[in-house]
Amino acid sequence: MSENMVEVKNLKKYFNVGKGKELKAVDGVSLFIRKGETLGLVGESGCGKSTLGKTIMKFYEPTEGQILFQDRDITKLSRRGYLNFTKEAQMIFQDPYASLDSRMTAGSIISEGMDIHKICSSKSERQERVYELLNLVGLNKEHANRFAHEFSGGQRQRIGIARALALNPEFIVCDEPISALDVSIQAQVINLLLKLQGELNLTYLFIAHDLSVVKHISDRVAVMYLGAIMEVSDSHNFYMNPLHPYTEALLSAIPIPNPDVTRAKKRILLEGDVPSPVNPKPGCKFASRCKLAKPSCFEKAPELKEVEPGHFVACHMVSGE
Amino acid sequence: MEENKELFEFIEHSNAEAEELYGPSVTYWKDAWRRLKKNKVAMFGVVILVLLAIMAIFGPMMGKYNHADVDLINTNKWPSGEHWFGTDDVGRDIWARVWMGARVSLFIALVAAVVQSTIGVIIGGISGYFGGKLDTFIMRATDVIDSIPFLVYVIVITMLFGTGMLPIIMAFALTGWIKMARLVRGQALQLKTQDYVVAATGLGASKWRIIIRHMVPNMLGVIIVTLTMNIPNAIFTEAYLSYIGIGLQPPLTSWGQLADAGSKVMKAFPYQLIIPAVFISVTMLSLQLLGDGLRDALDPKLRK
Amino acid sequence: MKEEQVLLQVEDLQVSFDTYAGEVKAVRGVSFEVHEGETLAIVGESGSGKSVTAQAVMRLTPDDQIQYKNGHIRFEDTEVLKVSQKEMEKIRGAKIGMILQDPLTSLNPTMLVGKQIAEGLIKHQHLDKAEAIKRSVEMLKMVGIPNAEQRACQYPHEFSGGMRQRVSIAIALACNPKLLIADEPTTALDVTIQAQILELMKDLQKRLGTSIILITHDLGIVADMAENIVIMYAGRLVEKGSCKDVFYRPGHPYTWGLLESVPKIDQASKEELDSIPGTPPDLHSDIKGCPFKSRCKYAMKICYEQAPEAFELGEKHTASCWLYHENAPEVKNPITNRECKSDE
Repeated sequence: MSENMVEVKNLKKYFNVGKGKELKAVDGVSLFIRKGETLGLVGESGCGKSTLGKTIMKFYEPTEGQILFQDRDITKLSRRGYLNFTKEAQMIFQDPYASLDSRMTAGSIISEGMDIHKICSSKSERQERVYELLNLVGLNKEHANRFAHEFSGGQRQRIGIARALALNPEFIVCDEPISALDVSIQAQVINLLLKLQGELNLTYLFIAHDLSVVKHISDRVAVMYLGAIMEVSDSHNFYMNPLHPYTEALLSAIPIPNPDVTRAKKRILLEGDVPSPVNPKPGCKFASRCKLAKPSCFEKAPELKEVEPGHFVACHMVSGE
Repeated sequence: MEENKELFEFIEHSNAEAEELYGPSVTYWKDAWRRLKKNKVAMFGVVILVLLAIMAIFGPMMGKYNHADVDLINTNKWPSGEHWFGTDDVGRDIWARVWMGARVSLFIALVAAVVQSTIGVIIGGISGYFGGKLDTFIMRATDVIDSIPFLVYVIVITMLFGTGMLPIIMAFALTGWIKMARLVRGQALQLKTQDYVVAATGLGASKWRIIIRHMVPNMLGVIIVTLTMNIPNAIFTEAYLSYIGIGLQPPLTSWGQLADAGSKVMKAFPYQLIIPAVFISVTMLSLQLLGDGLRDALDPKLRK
Repeated sequence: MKEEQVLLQVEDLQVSFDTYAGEVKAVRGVSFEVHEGETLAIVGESGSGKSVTAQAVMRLTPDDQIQYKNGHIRFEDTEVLKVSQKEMEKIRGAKIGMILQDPLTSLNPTMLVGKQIAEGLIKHQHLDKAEAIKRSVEMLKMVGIPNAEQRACQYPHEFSGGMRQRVSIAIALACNPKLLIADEPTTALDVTIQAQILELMKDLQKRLGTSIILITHDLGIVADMAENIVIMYAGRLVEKGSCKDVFYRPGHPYTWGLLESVPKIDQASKEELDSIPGTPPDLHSDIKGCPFKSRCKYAMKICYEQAPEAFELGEKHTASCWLYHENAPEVKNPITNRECKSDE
């Protein structure tokens, strides 16, 4: 058995947006996630990071490519195969309001997965498990009978985490789990996710646009732009030694909560906007905003190449072609 | 500064305190009911409807006369202590007839609205949730059914089954579901992309589980409001059918029947038209008010 | 430091709303001032009352939906809470401009962009149409929109998110207002676009001398933009001071918590962050004592009984926390590692 939890090979997910146009949300992504690690996936809105996460979770049928989960090909799954998969892989959503049915109690939300898979043989066993999960995410027994709409955003997010953990999964896709939360609550959720990873030996795909959070929580970081992976490296290298011009610009753009540092920082201001992912032009996706772009960048898309051990970059300029 | 020193001692507090939820636990429905109660106009509608329902049950027993008793000596009497709402052209007591009519009108309206809504929810739900070609097919079929005027259905059904309560309810059922189906389809299309539905799918929930556990409870508010709004519509349509003579036939009576009879002697004895007309209007108005109130009370957007 | 003219003064502002679930006391006594040419950041989480405060300055909410319970707002010579809405119309857009979080909803979708900018110019500066249009093209150029002449004749949906926010800045600044209120201006935008917009705001402020009230929850943006900072929590002002005071010598435990809960670059990955436990209080009820007490590590008995007054920590630096009372036990400030002491 390989050490990879997930391996994605040349994955594509296109959406038909009518009139023969295709929105290429994920356009040929290859990556792997090792067992027990956190892979951070960053990028701006519309870069396809969320679609990639949802495609791995099988919420979307991939247009092309292959997804391996614990060495099993899960690109096509039967109903039974999918049911088994749901026990091993779960998702935490961005919006803690939209992701919980506000007419259900916290207890029934958490136990839904157990009911579907008929895990608990008795009512009392099920209740015990709900209490245990509530406790695990820092809530208590009394919360089980409360309705979802009574909780605050941070508490709702923790209920969402408890729901994801109910089936004892090994792999969790965290789709921007903190970006809808207030600053003081974000740290609570980050700490909880870190604690759970340590205790339950979880593997995370952590999708976010907040780079300092991603750097903090991840072992490795993948940078996505317009449906393609630009750079993958360990999180230290990602921050200290970014090689792709887009990663550099992204890092320089984040304001740091320290007046002297942030004001002294030299910004690389990118010109213009992210181009549309509908019928994108050939060549490197970033070429239109890249200061280093050469004519060849507009012709051929660079491949993701390992330029130093564990550090992959998709850029003609960096890999020296 | 005079403050006591001991006020400045640290207090040990557990994190549980900061996680506490205040106030009693309220379900969605309790909360909605609380809001409805606050809405005076809607509650006025509720009170009127309850009174009407009670009177429809007990009203006929309160007067001295039976609704079908013909009294050819006392025809077209104006309202008096003897006949509270007067008598009609064959001397029948209008008080008794109004309440018997209320039973029939309210029954037809209620049954028709429930049947329409049930069909509408099922068809709309299937169409919206499963989507794709099935959705297209159902929606086009609906358009065809909707394009044929209501009166044509009524005439065909009365030709086949005669007049009476059942054929009228059938006519209502055949056409009335369309509005509900479109509404529910829209809701289903919207709900199925909600994260909590996606999450349930991710937990392995089957389609039926999602429909029953997640979609229907979250659509119930809209369904109830539409149902409430459908009832006055049915009352009015029944009255209108009776008025043009293809509704119920005597001796069965309804408010529409009474209004029809009253209109024939409108100039000489206006009370015979005014009384049933007032009942029809007041009932429709009350239901509309209640429907509006329910919409406000059940709308999740207004929830804090 | 030169003594700047006070442009806007807010004193003991208290604002309430009526909702289905009862009265919400959104702002519970807030005082601050904005000087000419400065950028003041109002920092707070959702529900802290920061947006309500800013909207009160413009009297944006219809008068029947909001109650100004107490306090006054003075903008130049105008008592904002006392004058009629008609008077306010002369100030809004002309002397105070506003940009909102979502440029898509703050622009009129059925009106040409150039016209939307010209509207205010015609109304407030009584320019004729041709002149107003000419000015609006200049405004578009100023906010960095290429092909301004053609872009002025387009609708908002033809612009990208970042470009739309540039247009709203052009609208807000068209009449050269004294004060610009920016309510989470970059929250809906991506980091690279956010950097563009912040850079533009800084540049325009330098050229036009506009004062800015920047409302945000992002401490990074505050560190980059603000001269003075006001930190709000549950409708109250908890700390007020210069940018350096708040970041390097913060006084309130809530500010400590905020600064410590963001991951720092030099912090080891996967290390536990110092988080603030619990959730903010419900704003429907009265809050006895300090609003932050139940989440505060340093809560004392008095915090449950009496709301703290603002203690002076330095020049123009105050924190509303009992730790600075002379009777309070000694506590080390986790940011400076020095003992907490009031200036008094």
